[in-house]
Amino acid sequence: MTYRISRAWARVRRTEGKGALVLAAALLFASIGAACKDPKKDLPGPGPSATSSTLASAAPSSAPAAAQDPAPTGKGDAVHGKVLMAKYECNRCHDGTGLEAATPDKQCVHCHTDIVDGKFKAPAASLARWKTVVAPLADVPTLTATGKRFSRAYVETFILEPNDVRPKLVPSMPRLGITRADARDIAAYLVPEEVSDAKPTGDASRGRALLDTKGCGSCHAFTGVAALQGSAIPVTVEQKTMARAQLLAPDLRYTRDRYPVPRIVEWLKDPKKVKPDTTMPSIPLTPAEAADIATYLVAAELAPLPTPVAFVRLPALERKVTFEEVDKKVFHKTCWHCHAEPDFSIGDGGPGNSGGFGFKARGLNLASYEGVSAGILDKKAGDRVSAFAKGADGVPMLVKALIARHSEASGASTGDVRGMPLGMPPLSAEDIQLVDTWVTQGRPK
Amino acid sequence: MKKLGWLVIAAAVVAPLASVADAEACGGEIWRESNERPKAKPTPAALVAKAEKSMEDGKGDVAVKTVLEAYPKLEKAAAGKDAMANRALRLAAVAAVRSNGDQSVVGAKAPVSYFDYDYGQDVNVPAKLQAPKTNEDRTARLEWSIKALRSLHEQSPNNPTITGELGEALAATPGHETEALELLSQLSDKDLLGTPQAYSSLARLRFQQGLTKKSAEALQRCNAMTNKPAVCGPQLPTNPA
Repeated sequence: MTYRISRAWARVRRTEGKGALVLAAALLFASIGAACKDPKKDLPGPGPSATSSTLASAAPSSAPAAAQDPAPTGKGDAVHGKVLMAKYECNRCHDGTGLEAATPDKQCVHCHTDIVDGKFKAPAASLARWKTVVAPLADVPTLTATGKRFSRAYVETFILEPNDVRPKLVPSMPRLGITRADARDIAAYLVPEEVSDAKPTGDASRGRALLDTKGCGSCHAFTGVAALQGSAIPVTVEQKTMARAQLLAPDLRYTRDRYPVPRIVEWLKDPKKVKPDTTMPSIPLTPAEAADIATYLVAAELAPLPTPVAFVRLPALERKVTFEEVDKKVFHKTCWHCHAEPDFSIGDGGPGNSGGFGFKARGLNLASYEGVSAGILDKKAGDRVSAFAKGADGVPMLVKALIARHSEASGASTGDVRGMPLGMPPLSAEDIQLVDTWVTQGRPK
Repeated sequence: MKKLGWLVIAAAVVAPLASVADAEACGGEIWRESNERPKAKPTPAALVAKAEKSMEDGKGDVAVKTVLEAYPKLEKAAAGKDAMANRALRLAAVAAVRSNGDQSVVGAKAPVSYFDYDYGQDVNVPAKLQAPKTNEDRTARLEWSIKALRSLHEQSPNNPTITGELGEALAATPGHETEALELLSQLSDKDLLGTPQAYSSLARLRFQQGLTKKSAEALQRCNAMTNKPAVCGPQLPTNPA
């Protein structure tokens, strides 16, 4: 039996209150999340998704450029996949990549962790200021044992069109500039051995009861079904570990897309045996109980996700908006770390300026007024073009990128325009309005 | 007996070293006792950042003195591999242009820093800027700015900030107006002119060419960018050339 994965499994993210400094906005595989799959392509699976047809009708009709690549044939080239992992700098965010660790000045998450732990060498006042900003950006899942958990097809699709399945984790996997063939090679590297999928054999209603009584709801969300009960987990877990577990816990809605059924069962029986560095505690379960839970996870009828609310561009403010205000509330708060001034950053202006995560250098410096005014390197010719150049729709390029992030977050195609901030929650409509107004007013300093 | 011989040789080697160390201790005794070793000098990056802030605040003289603290021989410098030195050079060149040659590293006395062992403290004699004595002096300083910015522009031809500043320098220096107009117009047409001062220069050049409508547009952009009317207004002549 096969089931279809709909692109309409769009992420629904709470965006307000999550605007944080993008110290490494791009987080590769930050949440191995639900697939936004070409609806025409079937995947092996345990049963039909109860919602796929409903959701498919609500999905945007056009798939992003990457998804429109002709599907490569074969399983992918794992050796090339490892090379691509280095090219896309997966190790700047993730551990467990099989690559050498990125240097300390490049490893975003380690740097954030050092700041939070007070180990980063900086004046105390700076550390105190940074701590609050980077605290939500100090954790991402490791890629350890990816091949022992997920299906290769899922990993390929997720790399190509990531969405957010970890509701409590602020950063999410960014949309890379990657082809389907490259995504397939990386998936082949990360998932060297496939397992045959199987029908779930347990009792779904018992599985549901177990989810409620074993404390699964204390970490996991499961959207689309009745809310899980928040019972305590039946094992003792250190408070710090529990906090991390809650942060990294995926929405169980997506389990059916991510795991082949036999691997769900193995995982439930002993997660640490599968992935030693997991934060998921080992809950004592009999094989039958694990099978029951797995059955519910893959067979429970899911209510459709709420229809994404279209972004509404607010009208320009009537009051004067200066660069100082935009810088303080947006550029320096959110954009600056990836679009920094290379001269003051050991030559690396961040991925948005000097390049990184597989992106070419675009030379966009949002660290100063002069930097913003100096524009961006054109993708093709390499000439400088204004970051405020208006498209056919009359929207300045910079504003368009900020709006595109809303579209990406709701699962819509943004074509060539990459949503910003990359891999982070979209800016609020009010913050975008501020930037928009500043541009409209002639960018007063 | 053999061991004793080695000890004698070792003592002979060590004794002179010990006496040298004692002599050093005497000379540095004041600061050693007071536990006030000379403080670490601010890094060039910190000084350049400080200078840029001063420049932004309209304190060009402070900015020039600060970059001289980091790079005392800036007057003889050209664009090179040191990013901070390049920024310092740019800043010094622009400061001279915007002050019409008054705030320049040309002819400036470089700062001096030393540790006064008698008083056990650092002594810093700041840089001293010299006003140009003649119009030729003034022009020479503007020409110095052009030369500095041109070398930076040659190194980074695709940097609109430097190109705009070169245009501004050319616009301020007699005999370079045509080139200035060309550079500034090109950037303006692409919406890559990043400072009100550059737009002000463009407005003036266009006005001199009789391009009054385009001049007004540039002036409008200048005024939109800054809330300091002096930046745009006084530089625009009242009559076209």
